[in-house]
Amino acid sequence: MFTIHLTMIAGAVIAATSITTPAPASLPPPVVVLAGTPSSVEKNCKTAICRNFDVYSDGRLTPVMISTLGLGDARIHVGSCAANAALSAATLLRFTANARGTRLCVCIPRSAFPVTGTATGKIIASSAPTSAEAAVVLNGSPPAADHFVAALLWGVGFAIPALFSTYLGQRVYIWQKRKDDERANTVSRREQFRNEPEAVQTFFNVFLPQLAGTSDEDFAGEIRNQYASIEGFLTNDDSVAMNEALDAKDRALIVAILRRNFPDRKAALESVESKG
Amino acid sequence: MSKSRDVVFKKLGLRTQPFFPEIGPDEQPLEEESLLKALDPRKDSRVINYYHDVYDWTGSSAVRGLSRPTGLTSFPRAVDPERPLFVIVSGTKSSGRDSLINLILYKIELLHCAVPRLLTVSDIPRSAEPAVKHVAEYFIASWPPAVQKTLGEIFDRFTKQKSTATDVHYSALFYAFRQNLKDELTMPNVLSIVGTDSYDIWKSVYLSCKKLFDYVVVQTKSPRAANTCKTSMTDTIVAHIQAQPLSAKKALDYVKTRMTFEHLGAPAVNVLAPLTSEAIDLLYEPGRSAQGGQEQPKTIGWLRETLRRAVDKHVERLVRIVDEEGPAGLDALSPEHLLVSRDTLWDARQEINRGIA
Repeated sequence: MFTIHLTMIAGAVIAATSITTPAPASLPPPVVVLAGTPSSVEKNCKTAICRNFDVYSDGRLTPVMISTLGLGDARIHVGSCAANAALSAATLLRFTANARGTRLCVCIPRSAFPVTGTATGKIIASSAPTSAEAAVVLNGSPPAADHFVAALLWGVGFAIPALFSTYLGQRVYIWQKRKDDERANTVSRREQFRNEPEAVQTFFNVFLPQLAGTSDEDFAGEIRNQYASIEGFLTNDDSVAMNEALDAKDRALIVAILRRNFPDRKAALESVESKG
Repeated sequence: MSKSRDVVFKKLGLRTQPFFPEIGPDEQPLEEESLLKALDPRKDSRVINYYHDVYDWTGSSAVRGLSRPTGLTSFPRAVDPERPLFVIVSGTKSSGRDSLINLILYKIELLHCAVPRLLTVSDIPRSAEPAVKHVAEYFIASWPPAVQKTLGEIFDRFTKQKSTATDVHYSALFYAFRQNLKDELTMPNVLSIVGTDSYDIWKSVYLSCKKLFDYVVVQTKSPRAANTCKTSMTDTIVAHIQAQPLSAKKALDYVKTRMTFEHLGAPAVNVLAPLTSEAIDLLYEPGRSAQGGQEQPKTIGWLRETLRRAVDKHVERLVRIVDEEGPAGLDALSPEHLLVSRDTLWDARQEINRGIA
């Protein structure tokens, strides 16, 4: 018994061939080679994904049987994939290989692919007493390049904002704490909100600074869209006054009402007081 | 296309009307619906060829770049039921915002090999708790009556006690919906939010409904609200893409791209023909209401419609010549007469501004 491992490179595809023979008789056993078999196949939206490959013999006309393992109900036919109806073909194919090579097509059904990750199947060419095999990796995550980039970008998209937010959060915390300390002895209506809710922080720290330089109309429109998130922190009288100021697009009045209700937000309000 | 019109386009060196193509790159008629308002590759995938990059992708690390064969160069497939992809597309009407949303929905379809189930919710209340309930009600209403009854019972059970939380409301309700519809929801489930520009509402709806939807897509006219939402949702990947109006220089690039794509045969010496760079500049001349004489950027929708009208008017004029004098009538015209005139372009601009259909 001896084993030959043969690796053929046809185009970009590698077919690993394993040939097992009994003790030699008068003629050496025929050698069958699989070439151009796909090393991996990506799942896509088609019912079956078809790929060409070639089968050669060592010069003699050799009866060969082609079958698959781990590729579901894969179909094989003689001829290139474009020329034949894939799913009408057989799961087992017998034909005579020659030295010129025979073009075959294998169609792997979508159901053979894993939902995620990969699975490995085989294309087997049997010609008693020898056989050749080629491994085919089924990739269940379509499409591979997109997926890899996407995974990378998910990572980047998460890590950078997380680091940034940690930094921003620390800065906000330090700044807020200093302000709170300054006001420690001040009795105010907003005493209960010493640790301001997130809605107020977002409004003054993130949203409002973006309104610097806007027109009065844009300013009032933008504030109106977000008003619900801070309305609860205004006195009842100022809530009514704010609605009127927003209707009138009165920038100065809007800022004055906000200043009255959020006296410690003086700096943020100054930056948007006048249009650019 | 009529024979005379065909003759005129050939004379102009064009396959079809560049700003409202009648045939696709494969010479087959295009589905008009896929071009009429926003581009929609779900109706005809060939319109992918007509997207022009008017987008600022800097606010989006996960979703990036236009790509002819695949729609978008990068778009993560939703695989985590706890973290649906959150995409905000900002921009004014006709800025390319709606076309991008259609492209995103098309991309989802490609990624999952299934048409997504799309729930578009508008008229959302301004407060978070009723807004979340509103989404649940829309979701229930999108199912057949028998399913509505079951979902209605679940809704009543989970909303019996009013939510007093700050951001997240009735999240168990949406989880119960998903569990109940496990067999029906085999396709990607997409929530599209339109008509509200409040970042607080988007955030609340996203956090509350995330166990039900695979993708949440927001359409807004406020890039500032989108930025705020992205910055405040630190533990969620928010992709913000901004559709931007075009400067005169970028408009010129757009016209060049369109003309080159639809050009017949070898590249033309004047790639803009039958338009000219002066014609594009005319579109950017400040109108009476412009302040400070500054160039006002134009949305791609406005440009496309204005140029479509101008080219149509020009072609109609040339068609009349062909009808009266035959194709030889065009040959007798001087090269300048084959270009869209300043007057034609001005008329088109005025028509658009006056709202003439």
